[in-house]
Amino acid sequence: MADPGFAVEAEGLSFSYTDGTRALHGVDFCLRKGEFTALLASNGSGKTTLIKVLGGLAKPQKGTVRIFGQKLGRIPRLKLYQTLGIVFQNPSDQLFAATVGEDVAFGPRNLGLDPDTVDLRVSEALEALSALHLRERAIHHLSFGEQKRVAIAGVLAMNPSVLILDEPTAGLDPSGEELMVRLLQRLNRNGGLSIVFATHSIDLLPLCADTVCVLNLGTVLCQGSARDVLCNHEMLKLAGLRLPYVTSLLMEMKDLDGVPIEGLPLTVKEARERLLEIIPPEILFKKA
Amino acid sequence: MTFELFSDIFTFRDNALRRLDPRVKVVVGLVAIFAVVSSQGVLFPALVFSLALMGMLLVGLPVAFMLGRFLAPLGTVLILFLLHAVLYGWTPLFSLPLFGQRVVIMQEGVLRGMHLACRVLGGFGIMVLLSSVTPSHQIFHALAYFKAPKGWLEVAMMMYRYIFVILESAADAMAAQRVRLGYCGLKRSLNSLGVLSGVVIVKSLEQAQRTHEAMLARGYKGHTPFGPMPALSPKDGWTLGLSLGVLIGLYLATEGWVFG
Amino acid sequence: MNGKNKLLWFFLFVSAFVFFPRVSFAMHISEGILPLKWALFWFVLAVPFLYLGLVRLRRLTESSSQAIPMVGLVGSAVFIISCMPIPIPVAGSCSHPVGSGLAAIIIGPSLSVVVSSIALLLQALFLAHGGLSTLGANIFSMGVAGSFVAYGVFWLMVRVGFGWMAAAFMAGLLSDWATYAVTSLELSSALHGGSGAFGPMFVSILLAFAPTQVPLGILEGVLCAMAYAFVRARRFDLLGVFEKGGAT
Ligand SMILES: Nc1ncnc2c1ncn2[C@@H]1O[C@H](COP(=O)(O)OP(=O)(O)OP(=O)(O)O)[C@@H](O)[C@H]1O
Ligand SMILES: [Mg+2]
Repeated sequence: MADPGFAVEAEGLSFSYTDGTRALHGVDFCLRKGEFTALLASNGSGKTTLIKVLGGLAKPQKGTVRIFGQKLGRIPRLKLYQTLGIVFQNPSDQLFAATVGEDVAFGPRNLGLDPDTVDLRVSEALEALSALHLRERAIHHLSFGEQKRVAIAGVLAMNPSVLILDEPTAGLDPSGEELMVRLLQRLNRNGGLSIVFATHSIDLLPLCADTVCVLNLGTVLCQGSARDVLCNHEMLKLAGLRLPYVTSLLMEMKDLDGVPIEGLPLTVKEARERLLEIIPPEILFKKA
Repeated sequence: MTFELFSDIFTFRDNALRRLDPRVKVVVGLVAIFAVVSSQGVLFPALVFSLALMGMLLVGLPVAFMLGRFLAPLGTVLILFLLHAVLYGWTPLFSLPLFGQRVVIMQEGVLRGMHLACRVLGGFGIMVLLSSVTPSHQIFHALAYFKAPKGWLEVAMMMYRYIFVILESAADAMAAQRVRLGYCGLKRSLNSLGVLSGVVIVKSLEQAQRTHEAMLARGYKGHTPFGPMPALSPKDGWTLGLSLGVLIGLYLATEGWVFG
Repeated sequence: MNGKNKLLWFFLFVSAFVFFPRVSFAMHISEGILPLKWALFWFVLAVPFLYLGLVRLRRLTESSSQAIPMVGLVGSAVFIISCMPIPIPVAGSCSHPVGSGLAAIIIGPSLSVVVSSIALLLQALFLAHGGLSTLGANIFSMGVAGSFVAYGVFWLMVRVGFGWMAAAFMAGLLSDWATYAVTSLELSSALHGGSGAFGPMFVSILLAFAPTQVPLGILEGVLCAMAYAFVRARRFDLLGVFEKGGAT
């Protein structure tokens, strides 16, 4: 059962809030080591709840969570949060110190590291999020996007091997979203971090996610590789989501106009390649 | 302007006083303030006030900001001066007609009033200067170094940080009430303010819960660890010695301990 | 002090507080007003209560790591409430609630002293209201008197069988008036001297503040009752943290 290839493995999770709201029922979820998984769901489907349960901040009424094969309840808190980094949806929830440097140092200091190591970790974490220049700034003078990056740096400074982020791109402008995705991708590819990324912005996912898990009303609708899941028109519609815009454009061209496109492209780059394959070269102004 | 927003923008501006070690600033500031309130004469507080004023001009505080800060103490100063001039003392200086009566201005009262006024200005000057060149987290850090109770400091830092967060949502909530005419007339204003206070408290409680979760996720065990304080640089040491020396010298000279 | 002078005092004070409404900001004693002797006296009087609060804080922290964020956040909320402008119909100006009464019935009087002391320090430093040498006096009037009176009244009235609303109203009202009375006491004990005796000084300061403070107290009571009712109706469960560790 405890497959060593899994970083996070959850089985049959059910969770109800004290007021009786059933936020999760029978949720299975897994994250392989080094994988970048997106948790895709519309508002109120239980993303935040699932993240809290995975992080041991909410106790599920049913089901188990294993982190690297070990049962969640058995792992001491101090060790758990050096393995699992959780970034919350709203940055003001987790930025509680007065300045950026102090806030990022909070975690490492809790680990009892000596001041020099703390310092090093803080600058590394801020560097990784391109936020080193913010170090001496007061939190309440930061923009929202900067706050989001600093919040991630604070978690990163604990040196976790799994990073769980609740809507890290929500509320960011297009370039901010892209910057965030690139930074996370870099952490995943170069740093070897396994990442869970909760979101409902479907257009970003094909750029970064290896696998996607779709959540609807507290249950898992579908989990699989990004390509399989993001092309599943019917299922996404059921979950209150849609195809990425490029994909739906090409799908309509295919279905309604009979344009002979192979497969379903998910990104602009892919779509361009597919289209160039079928557009006769003589009508193009510029030759590749 | 609905809330008395506090401005800590200046504390993050770089200048000579800002770079000074916060421990030095806290010690010198407190010594100066307590020397001012223990003074018996006009001269010492007046000198301290002019030094503080020079400091504020030196670090480039805008005059409008300074005036804003000094409005309340200036009002107090004026009242205290008038009250003492009229009501205290036994040597009449001169008299003024007021509402058909003659108000006698007393010499001792004028002196005492002036002294009180100078004390307020001197103390205030130091306080404003200190808080305009020292960010609050540095003040807390210095207090931690001086062994202020840890629980108190932790609550203080938490409060300081979240005042800005809660203030933002409170201001939004108030604006939302205002645009729906929640503040027309006393009764409705009061009702809106009551609801707003309730909202603010409930929001803060919920925020506390979320913050606590986030703290747990970063290894919180019930107390916040402080970073170490760097050793005092020679320059800080010199500044500390010099400013304390000047203060004490001025105090002894003006309070009549040396030349009296 | 003769009768004519008394009248003059009164006139001057009233005009002063009408012309300088900022002076009456939550009745904080401004930096420099108290001479050293009195400043230290009030510090000494306030410290035991602060200590009591810190002991309770430590006990709460031991039973739940949630204590410090909870107290800190309630502190921020009360700080903001105490900065809200309340229109005073009689004086024609705005003043601010004290807030420590509300804090006391939510988190208990001794923690309310802790929170008030921090709020007063932050206000002195960053709003230039109050002062550092007068911090002790202000903690005593707003923190200690305001909180303990509020909590005592609240507890007693609920015990006797009054409703929550009435108890919270009286708690807010009396905490405001207690703060006002103690501040007047602090001012008059420090400022009297020479020909001015303590008694008349106290009375004239009380009278001078009365036009703003009497209605303000009533409004603060209303505010306190409404806020408390709101919290009870919405998220009373969240206050569970403060129930462990007794009433102080
Ligand atoms: N503290 C709570 N008490 C009761 N019910 C809650 C609580 N928090 C969330 N819920 C409910 O649980 C369900 C799942 O909420 P959750 O916050 O996990 O959704 P989400 O996918 O994160 O949504 P969003 O995209 O809006 O952040 C919702 O129906 C919500 O109303
Ligand atoms: Mg969510």
